[in-house]
Amino acid sequence: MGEPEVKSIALFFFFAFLDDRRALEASTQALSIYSDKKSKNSQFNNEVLIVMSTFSVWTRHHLKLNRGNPNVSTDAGWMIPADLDIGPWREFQKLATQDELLAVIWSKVLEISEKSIAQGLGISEGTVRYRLGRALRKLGSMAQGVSTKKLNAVK
Amino acid sequence: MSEDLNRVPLSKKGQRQVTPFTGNELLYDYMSSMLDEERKKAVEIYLAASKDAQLEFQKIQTGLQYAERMRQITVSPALEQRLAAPSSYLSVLFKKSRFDQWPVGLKWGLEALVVVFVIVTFLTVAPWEKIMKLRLSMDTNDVVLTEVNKSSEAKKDLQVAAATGQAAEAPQFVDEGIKANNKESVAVPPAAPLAPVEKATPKPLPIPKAQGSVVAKVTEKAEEEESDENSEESIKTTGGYLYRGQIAVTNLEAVGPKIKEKIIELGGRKAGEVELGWQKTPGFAYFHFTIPEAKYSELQAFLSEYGKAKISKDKHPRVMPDGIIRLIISVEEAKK
Repeated sequence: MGEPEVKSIALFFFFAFLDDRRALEASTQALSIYSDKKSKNSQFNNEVLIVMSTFSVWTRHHLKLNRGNPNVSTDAGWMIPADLDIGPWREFQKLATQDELLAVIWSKVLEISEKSIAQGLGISEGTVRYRLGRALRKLGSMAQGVSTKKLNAVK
Repeated sequence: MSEDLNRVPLSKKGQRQVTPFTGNELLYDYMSSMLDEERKKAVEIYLAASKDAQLEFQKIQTGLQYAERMRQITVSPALEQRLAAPSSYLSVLFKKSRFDQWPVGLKWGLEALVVVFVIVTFLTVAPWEKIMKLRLSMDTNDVVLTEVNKSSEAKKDLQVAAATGQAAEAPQFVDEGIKANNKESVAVPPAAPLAPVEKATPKPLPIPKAQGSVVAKVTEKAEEEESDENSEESIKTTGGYLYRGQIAVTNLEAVGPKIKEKIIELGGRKAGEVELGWQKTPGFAYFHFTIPEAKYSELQAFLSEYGKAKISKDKHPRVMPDGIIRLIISVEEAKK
């Protein structure tokens, strides 16, 4: 397994859970699934495999997840730039639907192609784009809210 | 002709217009350049005309920019290595054996087998003898105390037997109310005292002037000591009883042997160190013995033929076997 896959899977669960312990546990499981599937069929597209393995583990964990109560620290190994405000993401992670959240992470954060996402989930590319459109609108409104608040504070 | 049929009908102005709903839904596709030329133009027209559409478009752009900024978050090499490396031998084993994919029944069976194996191993390896000994020793603290008493008594018996050479006649009970100096002063029967006791206090007993008064004093003293002993020991444990009595008879020399015979006839047995009916002084005989409780009333009746017997039942730490009672009866010559 290559470095990019490990990074992608770890980051997926970081953004999806915003919980160090759960993210590490889920990452280990997803990597195991990824390796298993890869060993079965080496012709599998890596991006598709990432989508499949992460989605499989996500479905196991997401019901236990208490969204809106992030538990993230840099000690766990996440490198978060100091000037990056993850507040809007926290809000988005709390309010977005599962489809919207996962679509944004895969497509816009991990830069997995829409085709691979569609293939991994067994849905059409149009559906993926539709989810992305809605998700970005939500994320944008949250990011705009934060920036408006910041501007007001400065004034 | 066929091309004309396949074309989407346009408006009167020859334009392909979109509704606000469709326009909003096509904004992301427009931004991603996924629309054909006609659609693109239609969305552009809609976007130019609708303020809501412009706001929505701005939101999508902001969202997209924010998501791109999120890419700055990365994973440290340490965490990457930690995730890439298998966590433990067990996890590797599970991974290799594909334990997750096993049938549920097989998994449960295997788990049950492991549990049984652990239990059997424990039962085999556990030091049961030590555990049993430990438990017994913990449970029988009180019993050990009793055994100590018995063994000390047995030792005493053995010492007496060794000293006298008559194991069969070894005394079971201490003659209460008889002082050591008294024993020495009077002719002691061969079965009685131990050698060291004899040497202990070689004080001559004063010769009694009036026999009755001496006997009375001795018995009084004996009673005092006995009552002291009783009061001390009764605090600790009061288990059994001792029948203590006295009787004044006429012609003790003749009556004494009769009483002895009767006691033996009733199944009585000597209980102290001295012989039954031991004549302490010429006018005083001492009977320390045990008899079946059922014969007690008969004995009382017999004694009443010779005088008025005063017998009291006192508490005593020594517990007698069921159906057996112990008596100390002082028989003295009646005053004339």
